[in-house]
Formats: sequence, C-alpha cells, structure tokens
Amino acid sequence: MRPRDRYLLILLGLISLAGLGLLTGTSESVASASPAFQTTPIPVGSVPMSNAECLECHGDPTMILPLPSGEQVSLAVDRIVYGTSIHGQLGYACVQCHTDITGFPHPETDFEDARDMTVHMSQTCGECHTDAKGEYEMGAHAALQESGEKTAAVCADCHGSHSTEQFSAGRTAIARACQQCHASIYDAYADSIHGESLLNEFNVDVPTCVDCHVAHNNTGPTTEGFHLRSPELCAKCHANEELMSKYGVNTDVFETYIADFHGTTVSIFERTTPDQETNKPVCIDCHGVHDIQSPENTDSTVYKQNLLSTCQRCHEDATTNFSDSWLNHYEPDPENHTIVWVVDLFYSIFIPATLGGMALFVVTDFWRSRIKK
Amino acid sequence: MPPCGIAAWGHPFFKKHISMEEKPERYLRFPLFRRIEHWVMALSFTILAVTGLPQKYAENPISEFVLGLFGGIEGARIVHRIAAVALALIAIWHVGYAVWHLFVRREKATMMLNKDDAFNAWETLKYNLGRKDERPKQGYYTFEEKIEYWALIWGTMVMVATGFFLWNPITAARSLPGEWIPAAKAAHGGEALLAVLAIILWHLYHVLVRTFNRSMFNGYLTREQMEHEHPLALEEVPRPALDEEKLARRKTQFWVGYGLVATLWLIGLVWFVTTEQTASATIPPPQGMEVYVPLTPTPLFAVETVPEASERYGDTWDGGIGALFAEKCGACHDPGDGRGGLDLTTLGGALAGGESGPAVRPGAPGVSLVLVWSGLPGHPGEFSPLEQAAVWNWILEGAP
Repeated sequence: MRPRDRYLLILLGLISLAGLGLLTGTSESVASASPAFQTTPIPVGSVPMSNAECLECHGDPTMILPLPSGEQVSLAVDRIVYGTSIHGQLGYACVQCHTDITGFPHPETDFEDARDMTVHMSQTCGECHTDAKGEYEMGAHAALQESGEKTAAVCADCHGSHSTEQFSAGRTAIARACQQCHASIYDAYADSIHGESLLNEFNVDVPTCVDCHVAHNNTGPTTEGFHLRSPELCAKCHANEELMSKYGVNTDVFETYIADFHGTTVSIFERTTPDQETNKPVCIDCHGVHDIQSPENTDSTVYKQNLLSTCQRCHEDATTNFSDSWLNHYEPDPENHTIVWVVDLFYSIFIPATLGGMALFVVTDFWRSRIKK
Repeated sequence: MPPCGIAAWGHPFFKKHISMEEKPERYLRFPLFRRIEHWVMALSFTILAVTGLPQKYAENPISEFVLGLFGGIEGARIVHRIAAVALALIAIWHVGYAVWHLFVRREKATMMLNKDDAFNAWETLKYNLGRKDERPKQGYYTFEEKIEYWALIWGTMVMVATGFFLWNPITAARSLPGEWIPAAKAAHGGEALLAVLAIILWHLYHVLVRTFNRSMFNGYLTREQMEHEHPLALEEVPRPALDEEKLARRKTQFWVGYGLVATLWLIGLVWFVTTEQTASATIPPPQGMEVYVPLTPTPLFAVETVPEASERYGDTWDGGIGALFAEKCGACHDPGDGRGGLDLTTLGGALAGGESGPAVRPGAPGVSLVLVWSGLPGHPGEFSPLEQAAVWNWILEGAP
C-alpha cells in the first residue's frame, strides 16, 4: 500500500470513529417525535441477497473502492454499526437500499468522486421516505443540489448511512448534524442562551436548528419572506405563557413589538406586501440570531450599555439619548416611560371631553332646530 | 376662519351696496384666496388623515385596504409627508394673511376669543334646551367658528411639533430625552384622532347639516344667513379710510418683517425635510458569518508523525506495541479478572477482545475498540498522540 493511500484510509477511519463516538454518546429525552415512514422489512428469503451474503465480502474492514478522483471509499460495513442503526434494528436487508445489487458481480459504477457516490446513494432514501423527500425537494439544500452545488446536504449527510439513528432521539444530534457544514454558526449557537441550555443542560424547551429553519423544506433565511415572518418563529415560544413562566420571561414582547413603530411597519408589510423588502428590524436584528443572549447578559446586543451600538447598525447617526426612544418591550406606566404614559392619559381624557362638549351643542342644536322648531 | 371676513367688509362689491343705501341680497364672506386656502388645507388635512390613521390602527382590515391604495405603507408615508409639507406652507401663508389684515390694514381681530363667546355659548345652550326663545346675537365670527379655528391652530402646532420628532428622531434625541419620541408618537396619534373626529362632529355638522353653507364654494352668504347668524356684524359701522402715508409705511414694515419670517420658515422647512437620514435603506445582515463552513474532523494525531511514532514505539507486538499495551492498559485489563472481560497484555487477548467486542481489528484501526475506548473522556488509561499514531499504524498494517 502506497503511503498516500494509507493516509486517506486513516482519514476515512477517523470519520467512522467519529460515527461510532456518536453511537456511544449520551442520548437525551425525546422532545418531538417526527414520524418517519416505515416499511415492513422484507422477509428473509424473498430478497435476492441476504445480509450475510453481503457481509461475506463487505465485512472485511479493509475493503476499498478506488475512484477516478483518486479518493478511496471504504466499502466495509461494520456489523455493530449497522446492527445498532434504526434500519439494522428493524431488520432491513442491504439490498432494500442498494436496489441495483441483485447478485455478484455487481454492476459497474461511474462515480467521479466520493461526493458523487453519497449524493447518488441518498436518492434511495426517498423510495420509502416519500414525505421527507417531498419536503426536501422544496428546501434550500435541494435547490443548491439542483444548481450543481454538490456540497449541499443530502440525506446521508445529516442522517448517516449505515449508522442512521432516529433523530427524534436527540435534539443535540440535530444541532451536531448541521454543524457538519455550518460549523461557525454552530459555534455561535453553542455560546448562545439557547445553545448553551440545550448542549450543556440538555434542556429540550430551547430551540435547536430545525425549530426555526425546519428540517427538510428549509427555505433559506436570506429570503425576505423569512425575515418578515421570523417574529412568528420567536413568538411560537415567547408568546407561550406556560412555557415562558418557567423561566420568568415576559410574554408581552410580541404585542409591545407590534405596538412600536418597527413592529407596526413589519406587520403591515407582512400582510400587504410579504415579498417586499423593508428596512425595519425584526426580533433577530436587535437580539441577534444564533448568538442570542439574555438581555441581562452583558454580551447581549440589547444589554442597556450595548443598545446604542445596536441601534447604530441602522441608525448610523444615533447618539446617546436615541436608544431611550425604544420602550424596551414595556407598556408605558407611571414608573416606566412616564412621559408617554402621561401623554396617553391626557388624550384619553382630552378626546372624550372635547368631543363630549361638542356633542352636547350639536345634539341640542339639532333637537331645537329640527325637532322642536 | 381668520380675520379675513373684515377684508370682505372693505370689498368694493360690499361698499357699492352700502352706498346705494339698500340691503344687499348677498354678502361676500370668503374671497377667492380664502377659498383656495381653505380647500388646499382641507385636501392636505384629508390626505394626512387618510394616510395617517391607518398607521395608528394598523391591525384594522380597512387600514390594510387604504394603505394598499398608496402601494403599501412606505408609499403612504411618502404621501403623508408631502401633505405635511403642503400644510406647513399653508400655515406660513396664513400667518402673512393674518398679519396683513390686522397690522397693515388695522382691521378688527374678529377671530379673537373673548368673554362674549363664553356668554354666547352658554346662551346658545339655554336656547337649544328650550330655556330661552332667542339665540344670542353674534358677530362676524360666532363662538362655534372661533372654536373651530383655534382648535385647528392648536392641532396644527401639535402635529408639526410632534411630526418633527417622528420625521427626525435622531436630531430630536440629540438635545432631548429619547423618551420624547414615543411620547410624540402618542401625541401625534391622539391629536390626529381628535382632529378628525372634531372636524366630522363639529365642522361638518355646522356647515353641511345645520345649514348648507355655500360661502366656501361661491364666497357668499345670503342676507338671511347674515341676519340669522351674524346680526351684530351687520350693525358694524364702516371704518374710516386709512391714512395713506401710514399705510404705505406699514406695508414696507410688513414686507420686511414677513419676508424675513417667511424666509426663515422656508429654510426651516427645508431643514425639517432634509436634515437627517434616519435609517439605512437596508438592514445589515444579522451576522456577518460564512454560511458554509464544513467541519473538518480534528485528527487524533498528525499523519506526518506516523513514521516517527512507529520508530519510537515499534510496529509489531513483540517489537514494542505489546510493551506499550502492558504499560498503558495492563493495570486494569490484565489476565484473569481483566476489566470488561478484556486482557490486553497478550496479542491473543487483544484480538479476542472483551464484552464489547474485539479490541483490535487488524487492518481497521477506525473501528478497533482499543482506540475508541481509550479516547473516550473519563477512561483512566489514554494514549499520547504519538502513541496513538503508533497503535493506529500497527493495526492498519494488520496488527503483526
């Protein structure tokens, strides 16, 4: 074996090691079980080849397939890894996924490189998981694949191949799956109030990636529609009285946002012109997205001392007093934002008093001039 | 409306009838300029209300429809601001008009509120309630009209001041507390609601329902209307002619003074409109971070170290690996009662493995449990990176 090939094999070995590490890792409580399509395993004897037959060759851990790109892909299947996977546990036959294999010798393959092979093999998943396939095809990853971006995620990138587990078994596993390609975003998330709580305390109340981005038909957060709708994502939890009371978090945040100039504009945009761009901020523009922190955290973008610089992201010329124009999600009352409260109170008296006085004259005049004459 | 009516008093049309010593059939109340002023303002007021109130009541479906007529909220805001500028121009025009008639032409300030108005209001109420048989006799402007006028002046001042805060919040917050901006927004909305409802209830009732008043369309009131509504104005003695010399001097003073005020006003208006770029046109992306950053696995050891590692720790069981296992693993995984049923002091023991399976799978270091377990956090025995490299290479070579 040439040294170069050996190192490639070392690398592949390392990847499978990481896979095994995941298998032996902690699994947390189930948060939301999304039903996966299940077919009945084909009874042994009715498939063209049994797993035992396959493993006669593919049980050899050194078995590799050299590809035109120079890469060498391991063709070995570890009994333990497959046996503990969801498909292995349910007793599926190798050839139920590898449908082109009906005997030996196998048909020729024409994969250029290892990525080609992964992308191609992931197409087999949709044969049974038709719902997931349909959703995936509406998503951003599928659109990228369509445009020729081979690195965009396919089934096996997130779910694994022979080691497939049920994702509903672990919300941290979801975040780690996304981390494979979105490592810097994962790092920001891991340090956020949500990420820290999930990854360190295994708290299933906090959102993991797919709670905001959706698992399969994620439309991509850079579209304007996503930006406009995003307050609804936050509101899913932050307007939930029961959930928020556990953490002492105010659920008025959504209402008070809508009552403010920014929120009013965004809500109008969303209803009238959902595809138009607006320069008014939504939750994430002030609070941050993946790196979101508690407003009491001194690193938070909305921490009192950091607020001005957050305002300045859009209001470049803003100075010290400017950030006080934001009411911090409070309803004005005598203690908070006294001036606003006084103005509201003034008009709540002044308007009915003025109109009442006018009505007195108008009604009596009408009575005297039209009815009593 | 303002002291204009007195201007009509001096109108040639009116004088002609007086001189003929017979009562005219109609009286000019609003010359063309007053009517233009009124209707430009009415248009501006209506546009401001139509584009403004839907912003106050954004959740209402009617608001959605109205905003749609302007191509959405941003379109409505632009139209709102254009109408606001028109109103500001009308305001400076009106100031000039009032000063011209009061100061230059020395006319009576018929629009000023005085104690007669309170009396008239009280008497009117008594009449309306049937406690009196006669309406109070009122002058050129009735108390109803004066209330209308001064409410409009008050409202316009509030709307211009609070509108400045909303149009230029950054400039406002440079010298005033930031909280004044949401307070201005509250006042702007409250005052708007009051103004619109007052116009409907008070103004439209008096000019359309109570009597259909044509004077703002054709300029004239009929003699009956004058006798009925403004009897005291008919009793006014015509004022003596003005001293031409003094009049000319006051005209000069007016044009200098008003020219200055109007110029400052216009400069102020331009500043009002252009002083600040409140917000950038687009929001900067929330996080300036790369989206596609694939995770590259951290290697257990640097591949370049493999030759050095095999050199140091050996590449066969007897040539050093066995001794390494004995040293690193032998304390727990020893013959007899080896932890996990595993004996790592002999090659046979390593290949046979323990409860979890073979510890060494020749040719497959990635799935050889000796490397998996020893790398797990909390496992007492662990290999240094160089030792790992040696073990890895040994297994890869078939664990000889």
